[in-house]
Order: sequence, then C-alpha cells, then structure tokens
Amino acid sequence: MKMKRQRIYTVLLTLISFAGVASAQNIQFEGKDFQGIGVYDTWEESPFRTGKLKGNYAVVDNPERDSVNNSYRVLAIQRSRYGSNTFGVRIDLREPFELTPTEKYIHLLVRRPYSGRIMVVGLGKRTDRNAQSADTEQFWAMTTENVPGDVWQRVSLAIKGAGGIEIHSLVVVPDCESPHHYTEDAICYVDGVVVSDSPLNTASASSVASLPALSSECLVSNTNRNGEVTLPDGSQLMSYEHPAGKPLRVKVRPEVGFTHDGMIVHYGYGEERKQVHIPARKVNRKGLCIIPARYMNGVVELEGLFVEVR
Amino acid sequence: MNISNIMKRRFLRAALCFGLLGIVPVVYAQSVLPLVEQTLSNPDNEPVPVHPVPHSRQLKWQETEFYAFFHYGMNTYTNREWGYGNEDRATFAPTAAPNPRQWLEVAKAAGMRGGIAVVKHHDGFCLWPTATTEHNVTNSGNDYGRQTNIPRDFAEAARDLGMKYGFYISPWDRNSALYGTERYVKEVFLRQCAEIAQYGTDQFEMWFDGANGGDGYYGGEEGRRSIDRATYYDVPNLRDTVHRVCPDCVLWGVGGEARWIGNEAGWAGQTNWSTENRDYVPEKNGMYGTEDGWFWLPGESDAKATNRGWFWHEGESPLSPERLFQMYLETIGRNSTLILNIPPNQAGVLPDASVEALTKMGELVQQRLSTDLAAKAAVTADHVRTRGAARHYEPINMTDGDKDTYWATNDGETTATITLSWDSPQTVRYVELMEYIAKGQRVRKFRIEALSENDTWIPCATQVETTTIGYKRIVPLNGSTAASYDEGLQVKAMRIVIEDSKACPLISRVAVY
Repeated sequence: MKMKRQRIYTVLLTLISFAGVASAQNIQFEGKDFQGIGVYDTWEESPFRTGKLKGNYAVVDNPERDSVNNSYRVLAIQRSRYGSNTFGVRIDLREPFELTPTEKYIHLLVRRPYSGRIMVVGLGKRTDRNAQSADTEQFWAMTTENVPGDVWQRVSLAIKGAGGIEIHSLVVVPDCESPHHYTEDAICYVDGVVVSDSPLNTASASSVASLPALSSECLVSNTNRNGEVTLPDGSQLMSYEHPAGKPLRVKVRPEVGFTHDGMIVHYGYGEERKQVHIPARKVNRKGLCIIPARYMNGVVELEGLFVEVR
Repeated sequence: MNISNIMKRRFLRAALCFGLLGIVPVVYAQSVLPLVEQTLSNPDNEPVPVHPVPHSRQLKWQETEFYAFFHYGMNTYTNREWGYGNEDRATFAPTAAPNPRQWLEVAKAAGMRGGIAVVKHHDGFCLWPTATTEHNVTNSGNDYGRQTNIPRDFAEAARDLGMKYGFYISPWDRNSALYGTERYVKEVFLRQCAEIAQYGTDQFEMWFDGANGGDGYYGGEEGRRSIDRATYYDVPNLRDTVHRVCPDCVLWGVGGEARWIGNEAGWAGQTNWSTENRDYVPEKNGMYGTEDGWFWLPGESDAKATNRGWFWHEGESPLSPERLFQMYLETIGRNSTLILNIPPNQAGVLPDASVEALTKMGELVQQRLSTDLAAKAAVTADHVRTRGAARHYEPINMTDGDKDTYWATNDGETTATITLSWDSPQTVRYVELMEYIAKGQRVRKFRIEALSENDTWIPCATQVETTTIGYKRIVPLNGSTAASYDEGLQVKAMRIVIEDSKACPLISRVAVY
C-alpha cells in the first residue's frame, strides 16, 4: 500500500513538474499514456521488417531508480545485434502532434549499457495526403556527442519540419551505432518522453546532452554554396562553440566568380529563434565582419549570401 | 461454429496483424524484460553488415559511376549563369532543334553510363510544356523553342542508347511570384517534379541544387526572399512522393540521398567515407564523408568539362582529355561518382570541340583502364573466410567479374594480404580495388607493394593516402593523378596489404592495369 501511494505521488509530482510546459506529449509509462509500442528499424532489409525476427519490449520496473530518474515504470527494449544502427523502440502516440517550422524539443531519459549516440525518429504523414502512410519517416534527431552508458541520461533533441505534418509515432534509438561487433543483445531503457516547445526540460536539473547550455555558450555553424563563412584564420565553423553574448569575428569568403551581399544570421532557440541580415557594408574589404554580441545566443547559423559577379 | 469460437478467431487474427506490424495495442506491465535468445540462420557464413549500409537504389546509382550533366536553357541565350527570372521568354530561341540524342551519344563515347539534363534552372524557365507556369518553352521565341521538350526527348534518347537518365529541377525559382510562400512548394515545385516523373519512372537521379533564396524577379515584385532550407521544401515528403513514382531515383543534394562532394573542381578526398551524419555537417565536409556517420550518403562530384561556366558561353573551350582523365581518377577513383558538365550551345547541340575532347577522354579511359592484368594473375590471400554451404570467399572472387561475389576474412580478422603474381614480369600503372559495399564500407587503411626483379617488395604510391576504398578506389602507382600514365613499373608480383578495417574486409574486385 505504501508503495502504491508513493507511485501515485511520483506521477503527480511529474505532472506538476511539466505543468508550465506547453507540452504536446508526455509519456511516462506509469500508466497507459501511449497507443502502442513495438520496434522499428529504418534499414529496409532489417530482419525486423522482413518478419524474420520479432522485437522484445515491455513496460517494466525501473531497473535503477536514481536522482535523474526515480520513476517506477519504464519502457524496456532488447537491443538486437541483428538490427541496424537505427533500430529502436517505437512508441505510437495516443494523439499525433504537428511538426512545425518552429523548433520543438523532444526530451527523454535513456539508460543502456553502451556509450554512444542516441536518435529519435519521427514517423508521420502530411495531413493533406490521405493515401500517405503514417509510417513515413519525417525527422531523424540525433545527439551530437556520445552519451555515457550504464546510468540514466537525460537527452534533449530539437526537431522541426514543414508545416502540415502529423507525427504519429516516435522511435527511440538507444544505440545509434553499428552493432557488427556485438556478440550478444542487451536491454536498454527509455522513459519520460516529452515533446515540448521549450528547449529546457523542467523535469530535471541534469544537463542536456545535445543542446548547449543556454546561458554559457552557443553553437555556431555555416552552410553555404559558392562561398563560405569561416573564422578569420580560415578555420571551419562546424558546431563551433563560442561564449554566448560575446561578439564573434568571422571572414566571408566568396568563391571565384561570386561576391557577397552580407549574410543572414539565424540565432536563438525555438519560438525565440530569429534572423537578421548583416549587410555587405558591415563586411570590410578583407572579408572580415563582427557578429554583434546580441545575436550570439542559442544555435547560431551563418548563411553567407553569395551572388554571381555580374 | 459458436460465437465463442468466432470471437477467439477474430482475436487471434487481430493479434496476428498487430504482431506482424510489431505493435501491441496493450502492454502488460512486468517487473523485468528477460533477454530472448534470437539468432538468424546463416548457412553461408555471410559476414554481418557494418551499418549504415546503402539502400538498393543507392547501390544502383553508385554503379552508374560516370555520367554527364547538360546545362541548357534560358542562360544559354543570355550569357548568364544565374538568370534573374525576368528574362523575356522570346529570348529562348534555339537556332536548330535541340538534340539531346547527340548529347547522350557523346557522353556514351566518353564512357559515361547516363546523363542528367537541366530542365529548369534558378531563372524558372521550364524546358517542357508545363501547367505550373507560363514561363516555359511554349511561349518561347521561335518554332524550335516552342517545340522543345527536353525531358521527353532526353528520356527517349537515353532509353534508345541504353543509358540512365535524370533531371535537374531547381528548387529556387527566381521567376515565380509564389516563391518563398507555402504555396510555391505545393503548387509549383512538387507539381513540376510530378510532371517530370511522367516522362519516365526509371529515372536514376533527380538533382536538387542547394542554391536557395536570395534576390530575384518573383513575378515582378523583385527583392530578396529567404527560406528556411531545413524545412521549406518538405524534403521527407518530397522523397516519399518521388519514390512512389520513381522507386530507383536517388534525390541528390537537397534530397538527401547523395551528397555534394564539397567542391566543383572535380576531386574527392583520398579518404572518402560514404557514411555521413545527414543534416549535421556542412557541405564543405563533402570531400571526405564521416567515418561514423549514421547515414549512407555517398558523394557525387560535379565538375565542368569546359573552361567557362556551367552554361555555354561564346569562346569557351573544353579542358584537355588528360585533365579530364585526372578528374576521373580523383573522383571515380576515390569512391565518388563523377557528373561531368558539357554545355550544349545555342543550336542545342554539343560543340565540336567538346565532342572531340570527350571522345578522346573516353579513349584514354578505355586505353588505360580496360586491360586487367589481374585476370591472368594467380591471386592468393593469407586469410580466407570459412566457406558456407553455398558460398565461398576465396580470392578468385575478386577477379571473376561478378560484382556479387567477394573475398573475405573471418570475423575479427581486420588485417590481411592479397597477393597477385604472374609467370612473367608485367608493366603496371594502376591498381583498382572495390569493396562489397552492400554490407557497408569497412577498410580504413591499406598499402600497395610490388615485387621487383630482384625479389624485394617495394612500396608503391607512397605519396598517396591509401586509406579508404569504398565502392571503387583507383591508385596510380606513380602517385600522380596529373601524369599517371608513364612508362610503368615492371613487376613479378603485387600485394595489397589491408592494415586496418572496421570489420572483416570484403573485397569484390581487384584489378591491375
């Protein structure tokens, strides 16, 4: 009886914790807060798609309650060595949510014996295509660094897409690595799957695995054709970490036959994400330019505007 | 049959259905999840895949290896590379009927296996009669223009010539008033893709340029329009739509099934993985790929065979056949495909100078890379995988000409030596290696050695990074791609030493030229 009360308390506490979050989904596995579970592999020749093997999964007791995850019930999956690097547990949602051009965030807890990357795949369909399968893969969100194994880890991943797409299922890939050297399977656990408009997971104070801390640093990258934006010494801006709120000096480098019209700076998080045009006159003759401190927060993307020389 | 039995049958049927889908509608909580012992029978002792592995359509695409790019359109008549979108439709006025058959005949003579024709560039002018815009050939400046239908004629010619074909449709449309709005993707871009698919469902590639947004005519409003490249074209559903109609069509670039090699100069990295972290890396990493990338995203090198732009310009001339052969070695010979651009002129044909250069380039490929000395060599290996019931992994699999057989070592053996020996000394200049990539790219490092007449093993191509192999690697033994065809080496035997591999190496072909 005591255990039952404690379990109810935990559920209530969890609900209260998420009360401030505009949450589209909140799956805790304490009750029946999902439509169904199964396995999924993006590899089309997977034995789990051809019917040669069946997945092994269930909602079970939390194998190790700790400060990160003290819930009682979690989702367990047998990570098969015959699945691919994108084999995972599929959670069919009771209500689909919309994938939007504005970022949403998936927060979840994962515990598995491996260290490595974690991915969440979204399955869904366009609402204006009646005949389309709701199993169409719509996004693949992966941690950018290895997540330690053997302990509960909190993971947050940003997702977005064109509007008009409903996500019906989430596939949590607890081990996004090739299993070719595995000699046996292992059990992995998933819990606390929350889809939110906020990058901050208010359910836990533990660190976010794939997003930079909001107050300390930002991630800078650039993706362009016909030129590039680099650091002044030519170093690539590829997931470059830079202190938030500090100006960044960059160099705009058009390819031969192209010039530039400044750049677009995309910055911030989620609904707060904005963009600003840095005009060409702010770039000196050597191609150097300073991105003002006020734009240096969140995920910063520098999009050089390279145009053909007329 | 009583009701109870009927209900039981219905229940079993429903349970079976859900079981096949891998979904259970109700989950009964239990305390622990016991491991279930699962095995797959493997009577042929086949190696397990190293993930990620290519999709079957990507494999077919990779086997195309070498194909042509034909930039033809409004820019051909305006001396531009990126039309603004405000061009007078009458400007498109071919001086003769455009002849895609001639384009592909030249490509075939160069040793290419297919081609991709631009049917809409950023200026938005469509080279087929389309219902999506008035900015198309039906409103062009003369009868040759009005009768032009490039996708129709290009597809027909390709089928006649036994070549693969595909199309370039620019996502960015500087003519469309709708560009930048949600309506553009649904009402213009996707419909244009669907129209093009009607000219053939056996297309091997659609080329979606990464150039997106910026200034343009935009139906007369002009100005700058920016879009979110990550979401605007709704790529997951674009892919789904195209694959339903064209199941073997790889979507390049924006489409996310083959990657830009990161430069337009005709070279790939010597270390070049076909694996990549799709959506997580800048295009500038395209030359090299990422060893632990989560997705199979092979590289395609787009390069110009002429000295001016992608479109034809007065006074242009082709690169030398030797320079084009160098590109061949530095792209196809480095685990990339090569799409080589040959621009048709204002008469809608390839200029004579281009025809001559490409034909000579094809002759160089034929002369230098077709007489395989490995076919008459004794081929051995110091490790050979244990044979299965109906399959063996002997070294002869590397020289049997069958792309579906391969030599392999046992699991856990990631180093090995392959030796080729001849009865008499041979003159050799190139070594070609191919991995059996259907089970993933594996080799991280190898070296090549030649046995001299005084019976010492001499390292070859020491200045070459002999790291990855992938689908195909061609190593010039003198180490130079620019001047690879010299007097050659006199050898009695050669050996390829695999020094490191992610898992047991699987080599489907070794050739020596």
